Amino acid sequence: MKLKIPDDIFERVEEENLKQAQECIEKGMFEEAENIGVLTLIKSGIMTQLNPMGKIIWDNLKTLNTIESIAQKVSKEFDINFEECYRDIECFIQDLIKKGFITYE
Amino acid sequence: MNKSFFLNAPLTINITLSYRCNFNCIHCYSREEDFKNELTFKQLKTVIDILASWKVPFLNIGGGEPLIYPHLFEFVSYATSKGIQCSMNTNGYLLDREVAKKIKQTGFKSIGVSIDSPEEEKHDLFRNKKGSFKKALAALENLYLENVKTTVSMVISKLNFNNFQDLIPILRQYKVAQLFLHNYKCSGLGYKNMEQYDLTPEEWKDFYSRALQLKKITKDIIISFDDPILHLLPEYEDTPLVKGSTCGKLSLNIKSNGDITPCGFMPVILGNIIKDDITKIWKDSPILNILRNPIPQGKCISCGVFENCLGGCKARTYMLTGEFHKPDPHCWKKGGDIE
Repeated sequence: MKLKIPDDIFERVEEENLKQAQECIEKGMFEEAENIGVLTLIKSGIMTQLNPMGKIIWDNLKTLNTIESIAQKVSKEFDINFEECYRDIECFIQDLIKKGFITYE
Repeated sequence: MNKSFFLNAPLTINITLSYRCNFNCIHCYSREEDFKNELTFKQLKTVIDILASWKVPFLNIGGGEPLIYPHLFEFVSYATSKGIQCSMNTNGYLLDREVAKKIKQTGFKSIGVSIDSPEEEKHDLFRNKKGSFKKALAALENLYLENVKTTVSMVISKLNFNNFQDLIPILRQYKVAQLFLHNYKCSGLGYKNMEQYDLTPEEWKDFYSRALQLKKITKDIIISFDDPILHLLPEYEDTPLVKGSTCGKLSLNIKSNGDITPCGFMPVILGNIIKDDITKIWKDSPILNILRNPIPQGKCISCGVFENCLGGCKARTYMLTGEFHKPDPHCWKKGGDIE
């Protein structure tokens, strides 16, 4: 099924946090980077924050609308196992669907 | 991939353009504010520029009565042109059909109208203005006719805590989207009149239990609260955006002279939007640090819900105890775990 970001989602990049996360990644401190919220999403009183990997998936959702196509791109870009990547992205997207930040077309 | 929260800027700025008002409500926090040193319209445009560059998405205009402010619509047009979504709280007295049309054209996201009782007489008494109930309903009707999203704010007090639920059928007539049930704030006239109008902790407990039941059965109007002590009730199922008060975590308040406070009800000045660097204040203010990281005191130390309530409403606590970390005076808990 094709995925869609609803029109009423507000998003804001937390620039300072993003910079901090990028510094952590450059130093190989991946776990620290994982714990930094870099993108804030709001929809009718519900808010969530995504970490750097969450932001990458979210950004890809704007042009790619299936879990498979995003997993293909991300697994290739980061040289990681496709199946594992697919499972993680599926789990992440299901959570955002539950919160109303993503819907099906 | 959903990770720990901290915002580089507030999500909402509450701003007062002027404290001038056509009402003199018995609970008003701002009747004793300075009306003289207001920012000029030019300075207010600078404020918008600052907020836009800081990527603040939501701006709520309070007061004072915003509709008295002569540049209100120009101000909102300018903010909207910069991508900021605006809302406003009004008593509705001046909101006729023409004003509703203008509101629609200007691009307000929503309008909040204050109604403090389902009974005309009590609302007019609380608002200290005869005819204000009818005018508030007329405002809702005018906004409905112009297809503007509306919310209603009700300040809970001795006057309405027993029949607040009777407001729901009235709001349905005007397709009101959301009802905010605000806790009584002990600031300004609210402080002076608290003996007469504020509820006792036990009454707050009883009110919130009934309000949560109403919320559960009301599907067409969202019922919202702004009181962290709700976490004391096991039936409270909401997951607020942040724990404890939202002031200084999700939002800041700007007074009509540009002074920045954590919220409108807390007279603690953090700086001035024109003179100081607001990003630095947001990041480094010792007061905001205290509000974001409260230390439990007294009965909060052993309370099982402190981690969610964080000591309750900090404005109320500060106004009534002079300190931030003391337990919220509205808290009904006697000690130990939740009763």
